Amino acid sequence: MFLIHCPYCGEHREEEEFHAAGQAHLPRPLDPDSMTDEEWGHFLYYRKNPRGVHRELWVHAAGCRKYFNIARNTQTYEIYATYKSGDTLELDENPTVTATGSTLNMAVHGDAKVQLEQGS
Amino acid sequence: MSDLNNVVVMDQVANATAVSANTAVQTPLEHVRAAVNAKAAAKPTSSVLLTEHAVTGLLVLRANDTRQALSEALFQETGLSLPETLQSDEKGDYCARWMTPDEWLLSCPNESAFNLENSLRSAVKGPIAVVNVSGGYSLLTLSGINALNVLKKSTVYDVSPENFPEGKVVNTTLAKSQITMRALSDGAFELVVRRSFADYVWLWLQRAGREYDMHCQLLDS
Amino acid sequence: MMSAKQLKLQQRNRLSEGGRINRRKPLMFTFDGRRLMGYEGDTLASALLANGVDVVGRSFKYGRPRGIMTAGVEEPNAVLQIGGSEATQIPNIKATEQMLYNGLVSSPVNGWPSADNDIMGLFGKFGGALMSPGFYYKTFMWPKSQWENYEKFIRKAAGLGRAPTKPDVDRYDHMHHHADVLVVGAGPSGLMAALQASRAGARVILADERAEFGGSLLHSSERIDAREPMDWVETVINELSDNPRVTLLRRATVNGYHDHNFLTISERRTDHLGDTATDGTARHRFHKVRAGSVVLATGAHERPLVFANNDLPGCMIASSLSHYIHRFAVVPGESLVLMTNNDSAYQSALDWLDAGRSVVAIVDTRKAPEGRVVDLALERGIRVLTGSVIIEAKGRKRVSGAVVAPINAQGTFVTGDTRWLPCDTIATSGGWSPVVHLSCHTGSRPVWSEDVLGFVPGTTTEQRWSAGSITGKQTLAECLAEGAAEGLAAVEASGHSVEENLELPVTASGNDVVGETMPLYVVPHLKPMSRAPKQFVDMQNDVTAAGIEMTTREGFESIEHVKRYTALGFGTDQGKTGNINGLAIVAKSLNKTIAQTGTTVFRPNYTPISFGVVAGASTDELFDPQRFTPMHTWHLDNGAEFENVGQWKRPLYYTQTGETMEEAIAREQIATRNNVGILDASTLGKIDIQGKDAREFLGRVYTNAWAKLAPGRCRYGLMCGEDGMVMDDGVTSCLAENHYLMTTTSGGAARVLSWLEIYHQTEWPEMEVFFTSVTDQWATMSIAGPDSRKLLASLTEIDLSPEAFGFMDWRSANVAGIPARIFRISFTGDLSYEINVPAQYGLHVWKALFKAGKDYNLTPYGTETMHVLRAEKGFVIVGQDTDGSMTPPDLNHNWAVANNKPFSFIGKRGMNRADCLRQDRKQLVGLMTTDASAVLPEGAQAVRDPEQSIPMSMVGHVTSSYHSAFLDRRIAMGVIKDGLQRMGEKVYFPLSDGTTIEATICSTVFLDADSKRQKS
Repeated sequence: MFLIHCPYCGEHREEEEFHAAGQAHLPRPLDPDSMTDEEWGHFLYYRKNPRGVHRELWVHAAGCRKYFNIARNTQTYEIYATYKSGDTLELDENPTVTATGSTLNMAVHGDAKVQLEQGS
Repeated sequence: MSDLNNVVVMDQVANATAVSANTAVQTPLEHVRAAVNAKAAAKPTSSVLLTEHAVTGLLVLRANDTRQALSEALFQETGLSLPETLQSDEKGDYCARWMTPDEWLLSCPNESAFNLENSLRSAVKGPIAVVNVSGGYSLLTLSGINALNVLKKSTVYDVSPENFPEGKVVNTTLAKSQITMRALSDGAFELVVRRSFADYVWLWLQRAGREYDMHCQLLDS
Repeated sequence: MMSAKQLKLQQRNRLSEGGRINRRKPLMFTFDGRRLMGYEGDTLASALLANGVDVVGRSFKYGRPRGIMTAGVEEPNAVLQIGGSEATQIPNIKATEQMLYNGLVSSPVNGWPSADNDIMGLFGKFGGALMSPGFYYKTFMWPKSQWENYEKFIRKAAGLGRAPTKPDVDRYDHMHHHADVLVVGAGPSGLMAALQASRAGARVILADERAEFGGSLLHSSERIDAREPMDWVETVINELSDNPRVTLLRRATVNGYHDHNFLTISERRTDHLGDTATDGTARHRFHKVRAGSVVLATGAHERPLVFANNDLPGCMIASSLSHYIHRFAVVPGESLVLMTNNDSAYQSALDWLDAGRSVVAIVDTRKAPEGRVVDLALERGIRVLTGSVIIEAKGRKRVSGAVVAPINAQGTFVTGDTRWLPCDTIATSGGWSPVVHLSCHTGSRPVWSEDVLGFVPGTTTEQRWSAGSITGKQTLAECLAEGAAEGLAAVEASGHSVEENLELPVTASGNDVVGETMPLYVVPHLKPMSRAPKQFVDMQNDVTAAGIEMTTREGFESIEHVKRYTALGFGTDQGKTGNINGLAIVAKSLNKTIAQTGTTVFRPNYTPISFGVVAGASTDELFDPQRFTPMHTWHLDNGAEFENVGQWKRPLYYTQTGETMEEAIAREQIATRNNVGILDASTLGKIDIQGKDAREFLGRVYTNAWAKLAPGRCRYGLMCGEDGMVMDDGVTSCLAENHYLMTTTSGGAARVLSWLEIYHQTEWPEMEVFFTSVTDQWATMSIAGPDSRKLLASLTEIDLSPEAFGFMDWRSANVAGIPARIFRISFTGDLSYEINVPAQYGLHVWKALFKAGKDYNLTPYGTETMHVLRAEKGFVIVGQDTDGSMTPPDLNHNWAVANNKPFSFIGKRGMNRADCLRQDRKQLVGLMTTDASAVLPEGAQAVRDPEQSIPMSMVGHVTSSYHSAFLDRRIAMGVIKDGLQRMGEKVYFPLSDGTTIEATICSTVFLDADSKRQKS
C-alpha cells in the first residue's frame, strides 16, 4: 500500500484514497481523423511496461478528485515525485537502483513535490 | 426561479403556505430509523455520541480565476472567506469547507440558500458555478472521548489532533464509502455524507461505536 | 468423573511453585475427550505437558505419533482443532500460541479415527518406504480417472483441521494507526527501542505476539540492573503505558509488512477468555499501521538438530524447556539428554536440573567447547560428552533413550562406538535462526551470515531498522544496546530529535565468554541417509533429510522447486524450524554453500490469521454499501422485491397477496400501458454541468449534436470510448444556455463523472465548465402511461397540453406543492413524465402521486417491468444489449452520431476504423420467435443453418428476452452478423437441451413504431 503525496491537497495520503489511471503524458492527438488505423491503434492500446522508472496518471478519487502524475520505480516501489497535471518533471530515466533505493537526477518545473533528494 | 448568466437558479425549499414543511421533509436516515433505538437514553458508560443534523442549506461553490471575487462576495453575504487548502471558515450558521482546489462546500440556513446563490451569482463577474445540493447530503456529528477511536476504526485518514486540528477539512474514505470530515472543538467531528450512503455510514458507525456504548440521536421524524 | 483434587494431581509435570501462572485460577479443559486441568496463564501446550500428554497428533503423511516440540509460533506438531460448538470450530490452532481458558475443547486435527490409534500409522509403516517426495504426483495420478477417489481418501486420512459448518458468531474489526515508530517484538531489544523512541516524544506502537511482554526475559534468569529480569520489564512497561503517545498491543502478531512502511497487526483480543467474545467486543482486531520508521526486534527461533527418529514425542527444542519451566512451572519429562552445537542450550539443562529432574548428559557436537556455561554445567555435576551426537532416538510413543556416538570434527561421519543413554526427553539446539520474515515481505532478500549461521535482514528501501537476535546478537547486553541504538536511529529518521540517549541497563551475565557455534545441521548416522531411520527436517509436512537429498538427485536444484516438490516449509508453521536444515541439506547435496543456495521467499502472513479479521466489520449488511433512494421505506411497505444495481437497492417488482413474480410483472406492464405506472428512477446518475463551454464539452463527449439544443429541451445522448464502443447513454437537458443536467445509467454515474473530469483536467483544462454530481440531490419518479398527463395535472399548476409541453421538453413547476423539474421523456414508449424534486421531498411527492393516482389505478412498477416496456419499444440498455464491442452503428443508432461536427468527438476515430465499418459486424436486431411462447434464453447462440455439423458456425446471440404481457408474446433482441441487412431472414438457436428455437430477424421496435403513444 503506497503512501502518496497529493500535489493538490499538499499532504501524504493512503493509497486507498487514490486510483491509478494508466500511463501518464499521453496527449490525445489533435487531429485524430488524419491518423491511420495503425497510428490510432498505437495511441489507444500501446503502453510502456518498464522495469524501473515509470510515469503514471493517478486521481485522488476519494479526496480532491484531481488527476496528477506520479514518477515511480516499478522495481523498488519508490515514488520519486508527484506533480500536477500540466507540470513537467525532468527525470534521469536510468537511475542507479540499489537495494536501499535509487540514485538519480531530477528537475521539476511547477509545484512537484520531490520526495527523494538528488543523489540520495 | 431566476436566470442569471445563462444558468437556472431554483428555490428548492417548498413554500410553507403550499405544504407543511415539517411533514414534507424527510431526512436521509429515514430507513435506518428502524435499526436504531434513537429514543434510548444515553448509558452512563456512553463515551461517544452520534447526532444527526436537520436539513441544512448546502451550496457547492466553484471558481478558478474568479476565486478572489467569489471570496469577497461570500464575505459580503456571510462574513466568511473561501478557506485555503484543507481548511474551513465558520461563522454562526454559515460554514465554508475547502473541498478541492476549485471547490468549496458552503452550509447555510436551509431557507437562505436560494437568495445566497442569487447574490453570489450577481456579485461575481466571470465564471463561477453554484449548485444547490441541500437535499443530497446528511450531516452528522460524532463527539465524546471515544469519537477518535470510532473514526480510527472507520477511516484511513490520520484523525489525531496533531494531524487533524480543529477547523481542518478532509475528503477521505469511511469504510467503503466516502466522506467529508471536519474537526470541531473538543475532539468532535462533523461528517458530511452523501444521502444515499447515509444509512451505510450510520450503521457502520453504530457498529464501530458499540464497544463504547455509543449513544445515537436521530432527528424526530 | 474425577474430582478437582484428582485433576490437580494429574498434572504430574507441574512444579509445586514458580511460573507466571495463577494457581488460584484453575481452568478445566478437554483434549481428545479427556478432561484435564491447567491454570490461568497456561498455554494449551503447557497445560497438556503439565498433564503428561505425549501424543498430540499424527503426522501428515506417515501417521507417526507427534508431541509438542516448541513453546512458540514455530511449533510444527501441536496443531489442534478447538471450539466447543459447531459455530466456534477453529482448525489448526497451535497449542503453543493458544492461551488456556475454562471449558476449552480441543482435539488432534489429523488422527483418524484418533491420534493414539491411527490408520495412517499402519499405512505409513508399510507404505512408508514408498512415500517419497512427489509420491502423490507419481502414484495417484495413474490412472487419471481415479484421481477423485484417491483424493477423497487422502484428504480424509491426512488432512489438517476442518472448517466450521455454521456461521461465525463473533465480530471483528479494523483500526487504522499512524505512528512515528512501530516496534515489532517486546523482548529486551524491542523494549529498549520503544523506550528510546517514546522519550523523544514520538507516537510509538509496540506489538508482541505473546500475552506478556518480555520476550526471552520471560524465561531468563539473567539479572538486569541487579533485579529480576521481569521486574525490569515491568518498570519499562509502566513508563510506556503512562505515555499517552504509546500504544501497547499484546497478543498482537505483526503479520504483514507492506510497501512504504504499511504493516498489519492481528490482535487476538478475546481468544484467551473463551471460544466466543462477549457482548459484541471484536474477537480479533486488524490494526493497519502506517509507520514513519519500523524497528524489527522479532528475535530468533532455535532450530533443532536433525537425527534419526527425531520426531518421537519427547524430542524438543532446547530453549522450550526453559520456557516451560520458567513461564509455566512445567517440566515436560523426568530425564534429559541434551544435544547442542552451541552454548545457549546449556542453560536449558541447568534449568532442568534446578527443577529437580535428572540430566543424563549434555551431548556437545563440538570437540572442545570453550564457553563459560560449559564449566558451569560441569561444576553442577552434569556429564558433558563432547565431539559427540545423538544419532538416533528410540521409543514407541515417547522417547525411551538416545543412541550416542562420537563424530569427526566436521560432523560428517561417526568415528566410534555407540552408547545407549536411557532418557524420556531429548532436547536439541542447532543454533538460532533470526526471524527475518517481516523484513522480506517488501521484496528485500535476507543475507546468509557465516558468523550467525543464519539469514539476517538484507538491505531495503523502507525506513526499517533491526535490533537484537534478529541480527544475530547473542548476549542480553548486546541486545539491549542494539535496541537502544536502533530505536534512536528510527525515531530520528521519523523526524524527532533526541535530547538524551538512554542509559543502558547493567546486565550481570555469567556468559561473558561465548563459544562458537558449530555449523552442523544434520547429524550423521551409521547408515547412509537414505537407509537410516527417518531423520525429519519438516515435521508438519513429514519431509525427511533423505527425501530432500533424493529430490536434488532427481534434478531439482532451485530451492523454490525443492520446496514445492517436497512440501518443505509449507503448512501452518511455514517451516520455521525446518527451513535452514533443509537448505543445508540441499546445499550439501549440490556442493554449494547455503548462501549460494539461497532461501525461499517469505510472504505475508507471518503466522496464520483468521478470515474474520481480514473481513473486519464489512460483513452482513455492511459487506458493501447499500444505497437507498428517498422512497425506500415506501417500497419496503408495499411488497417490493429488490435487486442490486451497482450498490443501489432497486425494486425489481411489487407483489400483491398471493401473486407470483410472473403475475406481478404482467400486472405492472398492463396497468402502465393501459393506465399509468410509476417507477422510482432516483438511482439514475445526474451531473450538473455549468459554464460557457458546457455545450461544446457535451459535443465532444457525446456522439450526437448539441449545438442547437434550446433551453427547455432534452436530448438522448450516446457516449463512446476512444475506441468507438458505446460506454453509456442518457438524456441531457438544456436548463439554460450555460447550464445542463446530464443523466447517466445507474451503474455508470461515477464512471461517467470521472470520464468528464479526466478529459477536462488533462486534455481541455482551458474549457470553462464545472461538473457536480447531483445524483443524491434529486428524487426522480417516472410516471408512464396514457393517464399520466391527467394524473400529473391534478398535482401541478402548469399547462401540460402537448402544444405547451411537448415530447422532449422540460419545465419548472410545483408538484404537490414542491418545487420540481418535470422532464417529458420516455423510457417506456408511452406518454411519460420524469419528475425531479429535491430528495428530502421525494417521499412526500411520491405519496401525493399515489393519493391522486387512486382514480387512475396508479401502479408502482419495478426494474423488471421497466426492462420489458423499454424492450417493446426497442430501447437499448447499455451493458445488457452492449458488451463493450458495440459501436453506435452496430446498435442501429446512426441517428445519434454526428460525424460532421467540427471537433473530432470521442469515439469518432475509433468507430470509423476499417474493422468497425465492416458490414458483417454483429448488429442489434429484434428476434421474433416463430412460436410466440418459445423462450429464447439470454446468451443463446444463433446459427443460420441448424442442420450443419458440430461445431456450428455461430452468427450472434440473444441479449434481451422477455414475455410481453401487453403484446401477449415473447419478444427478444440480439446481435446478429449483418443482421440489419437480413430483416425477415430466419435464424436458429440450438439449445443445450437439444431443442432448437426458430426466430425471424425483425426491427427492435415491437410496439408503436410511429411513436404515437410517447408523443401523444
